[in-house]
Amino acid sequence: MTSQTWNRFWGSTFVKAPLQNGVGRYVQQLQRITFKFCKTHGGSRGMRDFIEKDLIEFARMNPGVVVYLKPRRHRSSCLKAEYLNGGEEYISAHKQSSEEIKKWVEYLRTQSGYSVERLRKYQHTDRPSIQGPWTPWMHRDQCINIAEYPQEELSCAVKREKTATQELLEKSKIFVGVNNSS
Amino acid sequence: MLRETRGKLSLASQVRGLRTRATPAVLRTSVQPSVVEQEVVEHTPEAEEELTKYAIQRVNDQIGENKHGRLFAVIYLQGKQHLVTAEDLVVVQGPFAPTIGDTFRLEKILAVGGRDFTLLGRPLLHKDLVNVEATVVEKSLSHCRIFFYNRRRKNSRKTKFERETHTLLRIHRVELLHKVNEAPDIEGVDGRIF
Repeated sequence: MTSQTWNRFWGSTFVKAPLQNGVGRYVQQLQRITFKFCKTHGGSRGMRDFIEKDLIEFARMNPGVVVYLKPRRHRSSCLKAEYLNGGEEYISAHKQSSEEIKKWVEYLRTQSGYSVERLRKYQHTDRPSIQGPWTPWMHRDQCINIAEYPQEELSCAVKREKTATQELLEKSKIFVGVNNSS
Repeated sequence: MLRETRGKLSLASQVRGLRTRATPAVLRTSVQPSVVEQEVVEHTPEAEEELTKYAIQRVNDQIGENKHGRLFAVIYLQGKQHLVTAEDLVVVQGPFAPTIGDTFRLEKILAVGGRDFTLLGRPLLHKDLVNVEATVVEKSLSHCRIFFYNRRRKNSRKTKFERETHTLLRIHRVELLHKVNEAPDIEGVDGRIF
């Protein structure tokens, strides 16, 4: 699978934040989180450990997040997060330890609800230029503003400084002249 | 902004160092003198100093009356430079300690500018002059990047998957705290631990 195929399936986005988040105020985007697990199977053991040890602390630290526990018989454990912008994320926690689950919960807590895609640019601005974009007339002599076109001087090739050959020729002329006069 | 006081010589110094060449002298003589009135100003150190003072005065007037409008800043963050204004979004790639909702001040500012002026640091501007603040809006992981190593005809291949931390910052304030060349009495004490 080449990278082109990969991009075709997974897409790409620009940097964005929902509802101007962070301008004037910040709102945590995680709305609900559901812990699904089995009370008996070994695949949910890490999840059960997490619920016993860390869940109360998590709920206390995040008063804006609704926490659901959903025991299901003989099914593997998973995490489901729902965000303010309607985004959802599902993470399988099958056979994971409580530390791993803790990391994934932290990951879900700090997300904004957009699906993860390759970023095309790592910066976004609504004001691309403040001093104005560069133009070919920037810092040029203002005389050309009122010049009448077509103009011969502007149409001709750029006059460069004298080449070394030209200077040598001129000097030789002077030299010849001096010799002749003397 | 200083066009009216500048003669040909000063203008020449303005374009010095640019790749484009100044307009040929032939053209200057061809335009009507009644439309553009210019005079040749003596290029002396005193005149240069006066011009500098005048420019700083103009900048200070704008800062004092808060007429500079929207400011931009060049910030140095985690080894990279970003040109930002207020309400911009910047992604920090790689490990970064702050979590969502944290607000902090960016202290390494390389340049600040408005519509009519730019203040350049050498290399950094003083912490008491500029205040740029950012809020962490989101912390997430990048998309899954695949590193695939294959040795042909050697029966050896190896695939790695990597997702690095992305921290999304919202620049919510870019402001000048005092005028140029007018430092406050006590400098650099804000937020410092002795």
